[in-house]
Amino acid sequence: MIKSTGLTFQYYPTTKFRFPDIECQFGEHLLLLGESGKGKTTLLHLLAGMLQPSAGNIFIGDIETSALSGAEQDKFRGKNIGIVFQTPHFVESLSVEDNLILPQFLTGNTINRKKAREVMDRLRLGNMMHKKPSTLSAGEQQRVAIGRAIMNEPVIILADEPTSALDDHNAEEVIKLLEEQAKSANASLLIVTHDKRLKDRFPKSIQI
Amino acid sequence: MNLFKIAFSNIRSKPLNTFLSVILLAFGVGIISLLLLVENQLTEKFNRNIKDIDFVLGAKGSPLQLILANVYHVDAPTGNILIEESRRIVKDIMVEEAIPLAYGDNYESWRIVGTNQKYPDHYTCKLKEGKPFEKAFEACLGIEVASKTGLKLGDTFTSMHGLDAEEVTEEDHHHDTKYTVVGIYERSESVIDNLILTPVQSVWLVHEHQDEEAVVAPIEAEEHVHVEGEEHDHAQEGDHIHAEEEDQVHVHVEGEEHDHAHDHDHAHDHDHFEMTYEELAAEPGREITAYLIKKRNKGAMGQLAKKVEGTSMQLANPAIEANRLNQNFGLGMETMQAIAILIMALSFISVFISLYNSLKDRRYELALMRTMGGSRTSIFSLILLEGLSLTCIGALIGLVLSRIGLLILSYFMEKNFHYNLTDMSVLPAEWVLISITLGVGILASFLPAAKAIQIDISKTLSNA
Repeated sequence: MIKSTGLTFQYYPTTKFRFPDIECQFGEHLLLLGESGKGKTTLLHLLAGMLQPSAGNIFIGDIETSALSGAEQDKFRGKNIGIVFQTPHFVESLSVEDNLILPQFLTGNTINRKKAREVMDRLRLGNMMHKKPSTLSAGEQQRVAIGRAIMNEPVIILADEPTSALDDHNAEEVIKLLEEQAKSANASLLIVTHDKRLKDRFPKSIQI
Repeated sequence: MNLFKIAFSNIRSKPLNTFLSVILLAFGVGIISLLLLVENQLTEKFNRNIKDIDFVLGAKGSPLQLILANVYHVDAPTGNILIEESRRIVKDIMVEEAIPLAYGDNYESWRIVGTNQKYPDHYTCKLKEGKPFEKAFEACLGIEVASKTGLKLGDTFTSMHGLDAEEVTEEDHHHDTKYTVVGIYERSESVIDNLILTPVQSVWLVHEHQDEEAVVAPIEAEEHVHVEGEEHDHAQEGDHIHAEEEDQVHVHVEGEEHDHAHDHDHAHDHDHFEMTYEELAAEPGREITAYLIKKRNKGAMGQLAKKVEGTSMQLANPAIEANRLNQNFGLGMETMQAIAILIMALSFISVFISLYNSLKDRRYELALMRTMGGSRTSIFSLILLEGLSLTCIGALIGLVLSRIGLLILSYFMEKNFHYNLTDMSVLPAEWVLISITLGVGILASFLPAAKAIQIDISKTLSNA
């Protein structure tokens, strides 16, 4: 379960974001809707522990993540949170396969290449394992990014506008994948978006 | 998967930047380490050869040339001096030891030096096999000479005029008298390794028919036939014969000696070949190329120098001349060193810039690694490792380059001077060089690494 109460964040004294409280059980899907400039990405970064809130608390399971130190948050995030960004980024010099096992390496988990292979097969990208990420199409890259997000079997998957850069067909595919992967890992799926196409798919949504 | 693999993939993914940094570093390290190697080995060789020689007594001319020719055996001698004249110096109370050196011939470009047992003894050169040379035309070979020419104990060879094979004129200027190999020395890492030693008498006797200058510079090539019967007379007269008279002598000799040339080997049994150094040296007009002199005490130089004044001889101090050579040589070394340090500085700047620039393109992936659980330490180590890998590869290639350079240099030195520089082991100074290089390499990557861990991951990834 992920839960936030009374979250605020201030970039400058003049701009202050106040976010509605969020609660999402494990296995549940939650859509966070909002127009540009409402602080959607900021909220996602707060939930991921990449930013420190000005006020309020965040709980993931029994742990108050907003109270952890920077280094502890890095570690916690690596082990428990999978993040899919709007534009997928990779370590360009490494192959798709090595990019997939990178989260395992960076969190100090045992490296499991078999799992990388399984994930890629599930994403129907099994033949792309040894390619460089930059040689893949945008849709393929986003799929690899999703695969990477679940490599450490996170309890929460955070997705930031995962479909806004994609056409209908690819967007549909990516969303389906996200749902599948979240389900298979029994993780909470939180999607931050302004993409209207997703509204109807998810019964539970919060307007920011 | 480990940080090193990621670092390595990263530097490999930018081949041009990597190439530039590595090649600059390799050349910088290569030049410096080559200079260190050459300086070290030459100095060592030079000093070993000077060993306890206080002066060299020889003909007037360049003192440096006198030293190079007689101590290092790399230049032509300045000429010859008369034994009579030199005796005043050599027999001086201030002289503890004087080793005679007489030049004139070579065998396949290996110098034949007429001397006595004191010469190998001076370099504590022991015989590997055979016995010491005693009689005229007995020869002991340096280990290099033996291994390169393939001459073995009991083999005979004829000498050729001049000091190097190149000096020989169209028609080979052979002497017919055969030298016999009676001994081969152990390796001493001194000049002896590259010399053929024989009693001084051999050099005198082989040139019996020739005009004095011929001892140093080869004259018009002509077969000189040894004349057993008359040899002795010639020995006494020969030195007084002027150049113009030489032809006359030859006519006289060749006319009747053609047949005798065949049973020439018997010459060794002949009386005058048995004459001792002292007997031959006592003959007027005898010449020698130089003496290596060990002084008895400190004041010797002034006293001996006074005695040399006004003669056709000079006394040269090997230490001073070697030092002068080193200074001239050293100037070139310093210039090279300065250039190499400049190249190395450029390479460090290149490492720094390529890492720093790559941060711009890679800030997303570095931020991403942080979101995937990568700690600041990991990111910092990654950048340091990249810089360090570049430096290591560069330094390693540099060491290899310097060895290749040394081999090439050694090849030419060997060809021209029979000097070889083949000690490939890493010098202590080179370890220092490598440590400094790696240290500066780390320093050059420190700033980029520090910058990398300051990346604001949230800002970087939301601006994507």
